[in-house]
Amino acid sequence: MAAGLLGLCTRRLLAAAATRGIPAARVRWESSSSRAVIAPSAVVGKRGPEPTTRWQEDPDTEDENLYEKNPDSHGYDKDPAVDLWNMRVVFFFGFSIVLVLGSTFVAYLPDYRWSRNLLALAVFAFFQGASPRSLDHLDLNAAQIEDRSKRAV
Amino acid sequence: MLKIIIPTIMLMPLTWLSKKNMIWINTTTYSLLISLISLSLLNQPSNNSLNFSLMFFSDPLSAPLLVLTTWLLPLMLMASQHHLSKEPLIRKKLYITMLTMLQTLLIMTFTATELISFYILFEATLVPTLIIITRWGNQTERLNAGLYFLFYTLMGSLPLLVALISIQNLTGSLNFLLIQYWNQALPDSWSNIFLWLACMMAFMVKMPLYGLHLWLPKAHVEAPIAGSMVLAAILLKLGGYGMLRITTMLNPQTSFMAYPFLMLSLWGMIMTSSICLRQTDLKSLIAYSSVSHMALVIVAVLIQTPWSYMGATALMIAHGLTSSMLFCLANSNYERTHSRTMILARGLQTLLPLMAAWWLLASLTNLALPPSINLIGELFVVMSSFSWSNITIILMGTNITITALYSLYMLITTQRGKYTHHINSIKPSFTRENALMALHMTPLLLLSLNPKIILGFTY
Repeated sequence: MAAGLLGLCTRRLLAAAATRGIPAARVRWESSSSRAVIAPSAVVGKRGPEPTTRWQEDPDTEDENLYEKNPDSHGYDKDPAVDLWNMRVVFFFGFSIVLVLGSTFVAYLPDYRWSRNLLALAVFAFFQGASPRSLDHLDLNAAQIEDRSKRAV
Repeated sequence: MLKIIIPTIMLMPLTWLSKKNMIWINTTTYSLLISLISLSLLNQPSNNSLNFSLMFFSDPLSAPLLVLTTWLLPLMLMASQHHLSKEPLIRKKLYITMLTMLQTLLIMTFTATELISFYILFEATLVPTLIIITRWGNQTERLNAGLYFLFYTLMGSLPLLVALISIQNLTGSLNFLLIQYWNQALPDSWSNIFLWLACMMAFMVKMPLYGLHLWLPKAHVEAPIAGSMVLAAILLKLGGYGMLRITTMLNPQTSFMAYPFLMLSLWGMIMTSSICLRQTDLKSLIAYSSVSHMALVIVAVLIQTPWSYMGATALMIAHGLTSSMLFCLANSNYERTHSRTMILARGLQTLLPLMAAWWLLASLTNLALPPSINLIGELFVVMSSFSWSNITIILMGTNITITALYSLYMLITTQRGKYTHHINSIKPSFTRENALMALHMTPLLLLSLNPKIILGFTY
């Protein structure tokens, strides 16, 4: 009787396991001492409903591991040659050309506020009656940048 | 300007005529060269503006935004290469075409002289962005996101069209170069109050102002990486740029009409920063962070002082680079775990230490660590708002604290602690990803050495 009960419980357990989607062992066991049999339940093929919440926003994707075929992959393309050239192009044009030459260009941009002040000084001196030749000897330090901290915030 | 516009338009035939294995190399190369050419616009010898033609001009406000726009296209192309690798060739080319079309429209928007032309181009940028979000977004919610994005902006900007046509009738011209010499104050009347509202609401929705911001988390989250980058880095700044331009002709109404929007922005920055602390979705956190930062820009623009304008311009450029970098970092997580949930990809510092360094730098710039340009922008805004009203320092200080809190929360959740068992087999960082982060961070750090080029026309 115990063996019969054991068989019944086990069948129920297997059935419950199957409906919950947990893989159950597909073996059939027959007791040698009694007529108890443990076999996969008839509901083993029927899975329970899928959970309504999924933890991945983008499930069932086929992720391709670029490193598998090309251990030196840079992440641009599957083809190693295209991948290598894409990396070179990005580094050369992105860093060596744009960042280096661009930041040099920006660093060497003249200070237009200073040159505008100097021009204003020169024009003022000219209209005050200074001779044109004296414009060559203007005091460059006089073309000061206005103290911005004194301006209204 | 044609030296930038025509090469950008020609990127489209370049894409379609390139061989299959050369599309990304060609487009990335030429878009980097276009960004190099755009740096010449930073040379602003005149006190006024560089006038290229009757249709295009650039001044110290639009030049940095233009350089940011042209710099962002190659970065968007690099970021998109992985998720498009399985798409058919035609769809890859279509995607690049959409990005290029958006780039062209943005360049023309930032350099348009005429306000109606600016309006048409401002609206036209919605079309390629909508296509990118709804066609290449990953989840079904992208359709709803596209609808919110389109209709919020359209509803806000239709009154602007009416207002602009009305002003054109009144003044005879809507040219930016002439408007700055328009000394006539708007008479105080109800119709001019509505005119003020009509002019400003489009840009308030675009920024977005807290209360009109519901489209932003949806659009940013559902968009693919290039869509998120361009939305956060450039499209939000269209609103700031528009406000900076249009407020020159809306005086004296701005001095009293701005109050409700100032209050909404000051309160909204606290609310959105606080919401960031409760987010589980990484992209959503970064999206709400954008709303908070743009609220600072709205405050700065509405206060209308020289320092606040400097702060607004600096903050727009700084936030553009930082926010774009944060989205790229979030995307690098997403490509590995296929989930945006922060706690699912935690403890990454052990697995990807170099990427953790980029996360650290991006989080530190996001919380405006000195001496980054983010701090320069925020500090100018905080100081000018303190000068406008002393009490705002409480809200600004609270916002800065909460910004630091959520930036560090994001960093600690994704990088620190023990990694979960299901991510111990993720792929190491690609050179592409590290190059992308470096190309975001290097200009940001270089600008900290020479911020005067991004301080706008009141410097």
